[in-house]
Order: sequence, then structure tokens, then C-alpha cells
Amino acid sequence: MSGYWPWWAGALGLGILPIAYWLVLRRSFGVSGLMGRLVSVREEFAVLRDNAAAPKSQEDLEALLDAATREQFGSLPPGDVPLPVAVPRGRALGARLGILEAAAFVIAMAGGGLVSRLYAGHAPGPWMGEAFRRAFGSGALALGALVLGGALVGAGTTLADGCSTGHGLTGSARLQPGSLVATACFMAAAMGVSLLIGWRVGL
Amino acid sequence: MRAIPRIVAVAAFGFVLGLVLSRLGFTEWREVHTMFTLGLFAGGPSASTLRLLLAFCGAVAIAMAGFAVFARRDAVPRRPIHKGTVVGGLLFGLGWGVTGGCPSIAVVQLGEGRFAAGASVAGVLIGMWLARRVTARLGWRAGSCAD
Amino acid sequence: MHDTSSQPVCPHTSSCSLFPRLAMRASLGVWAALYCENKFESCARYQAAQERRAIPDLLLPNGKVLRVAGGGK
Repeated sequence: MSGYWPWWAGALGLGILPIAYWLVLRRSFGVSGLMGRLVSVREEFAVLRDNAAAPKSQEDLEALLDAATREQFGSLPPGDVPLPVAVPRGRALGARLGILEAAAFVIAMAGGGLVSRLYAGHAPGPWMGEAFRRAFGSGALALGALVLGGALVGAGTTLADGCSTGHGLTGSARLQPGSLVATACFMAAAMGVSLLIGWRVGL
Repeated sequence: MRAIPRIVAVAAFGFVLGLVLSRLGFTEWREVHTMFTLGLFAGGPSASTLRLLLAFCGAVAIAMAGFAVFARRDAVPRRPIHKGTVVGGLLFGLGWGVTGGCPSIAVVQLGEGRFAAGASVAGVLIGMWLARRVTARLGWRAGSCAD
Repeated sequence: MHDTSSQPVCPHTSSCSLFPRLAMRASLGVWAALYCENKFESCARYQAAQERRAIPDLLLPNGKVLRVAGGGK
């Protein structure tokens, strides 16, 4: 599709997402974790049921917590027991997103693609373009490459606990060591593979 | 903001991400390939061939500024280096170079109507499922649960 | 008071949604004293996170899930 946005518009559009996501949802912006919910369906629905049975009011929650504390420790401590690590000031983490929200996110991403295509006014075609066709054809090899490549992406992002958004964008912006290392690794690997493909195919 | 259900807010973020990725050209295999080869096969590095890279770096810079201004004291989850960080990153990059997509890009491609991306998405889900089974079996631990 | 300098602290305190709740009442610090500061590897939430399993919002470190009308498992 032609008529792409200039780099700075994209930089703005992408760059505001991590902080906005944190301010609104109190979660770290990333995609691979959310997609990962979709492969643990049974477990995620069990968690949904657990969360639905949670106490609705603060008093109920505290009462249940007190009861559980007594059950575990025998009694409620008479005074303060200081937390070993201070609860950070400022905003605390929000509740983990469940499978329904994860599904909504993924579907909405596809929706963004759809709207973008409608805006562009023409369809990109079912495949990945001419360069991809020269590299992998449009038959079984091409499909196999996509599935296998996809599996590498899925496995890799699971092992690394993050993807281009989670590590490359959010984690790097926070200078998180795991994200910086993961980003360096995936950039290096992607560059290496791309160079290889380019040379072998004569792009 | 509090009145908006979480699921609506979450969907809004997903929509914007998908829209921007597509409008930038991240869903075009050739564009991604050009980014990863620094324009080598497209006439050399230039503002036009490095467009995606510039967008990405700019996004990181803006995100960094955003956190510094609005979330300085907040407990945003950490992402530490752990056992799967390097290997995971390498495998991910390998797959990305082949498919032209990361998990989000593949989904957006599907939304655009690139039906072949269904194969990528299927692959991603299979890979995630497999990796979870294998790491559980091997006892490889996750570094965090940030997403 | 606790001397925390020698104790390893759970690395997930910044991404655990239960941890801030323990600060609601100062007496709830016993949980953190036992788990977060001490035996965090036996915390059910930590184990679930390590194994990439889903974590109920109100899963306590001892494995119990807080639920209305009937308590946890």
C-alpha cells in the first residue's frame, strides 16, 4: 500500500502508546503476553471465574484478607509489620488483563489494519508482496516459511517474555536490561536473516 | 477515564497500534526487509529507506520522554535479563526476518486482508503454545509477567 | 524491625498486583515478611509467574484464592 505516513507521525503515534497505556491501565504495554493468553484458554477462563468471585467492596476484601491472615498465621499481628520493600509511591500496577481483554486487543489490532486498508483505498492482496514472492514463492514453501517463521516468533517472544512492542518499545524506553538485551538480539538476528535472504535471492 | 470499561480502553489501544503500524508500512514485507538491511537492497541508506527505523527510534525516544515526565515515581514493571532473554530474542529475530512480522504485525496484516498472514498468526500461536509446554517441562523460568 | 540487607527480596514486587494490596493495612505485612522478603520461591504467585501460568488477582502466596461466600481452595 502506498501513501505511508512520514516517520515522525508514526514515531508520535507509537511513542505515546506506552505511557498512555500505563496511565490508563497501569500495565506495561506489550503484545506477546496478551496473545499468549489465547493459547492458555482453559486456565485463563478458570482465572476469570476466580476473579469474578472476588469481593466487590473494600470492607469485604479486607475482611477476607484478615480471615486468611488468621488462618495462615494464627492471629493478626497486633501492630505494624513493615513491608520489606516499600510499596513504591506513585501509581501501582493494575490488575492483570484477562483473556477477554486480550482477545479484544488482538481483534482491535486487526481492526486497525482493516481501517488502514480502507483509508488507503486498495487491498494489499493475500500475500506478502513481490519481494517475498521472489524469496519464498507463493506455494507450499511460502506457507511453510510463514508458519515456521511464525513459530519462531511465538517461541522466541515467549522465551524472552516480550516482543517488539513490549521489549523494543516499552522496555527499551524504560531502559530495562532485559528489554535492551532482547531488542539487541532480535534486531541482530532479524538483520542477519534479512541480509542473507537479500543476498541469496538477489533482491 | 474511570467510567470507560477496561475492555474498551484495551481495544482502543490495540486499534491505534494496528492502525499506526499499518499506516507506517510495517505490514509490508519489503518495507520491513528494507529496514532490517538498512536500505542496502533498496538503493542504500536514506531518509526514505530508513523511514521505519527512524519511526521506531523516534517512538522509543518519545516513550522515554513520556515516562520521564509522567511516571517518574511509578512502579512500572521491570523486565530483567533472564534465562530465555538472549535465545528468545535471537529466535524471535530469526522468525521476524522470515515472515516480516512480529506478533502484532502478523495480526494487523490479517486485518488488512493479507490472508497468508493467517499462516504467520497460526505459527505464532503454535510457537507460543509449544514454548510454554517446553519451558514448563524444562523448568525454564520466566523473567517477569510484565505484559 | 526487619534487617532486609541480607534477605533476597522477590524480584516480582514491581509487577505483582497483590503486593501493593498488602500495604492496605500495616498488619498485612506479615505476608510480605514470610514470602516476599523471605521464602518468595514458595509463593504461589511467584511460581505461577515463573511457569507462565495465569494468576488470579486474589491468589495469596499460600495458594489460597480469596473468594466471596466460601473462602478459597
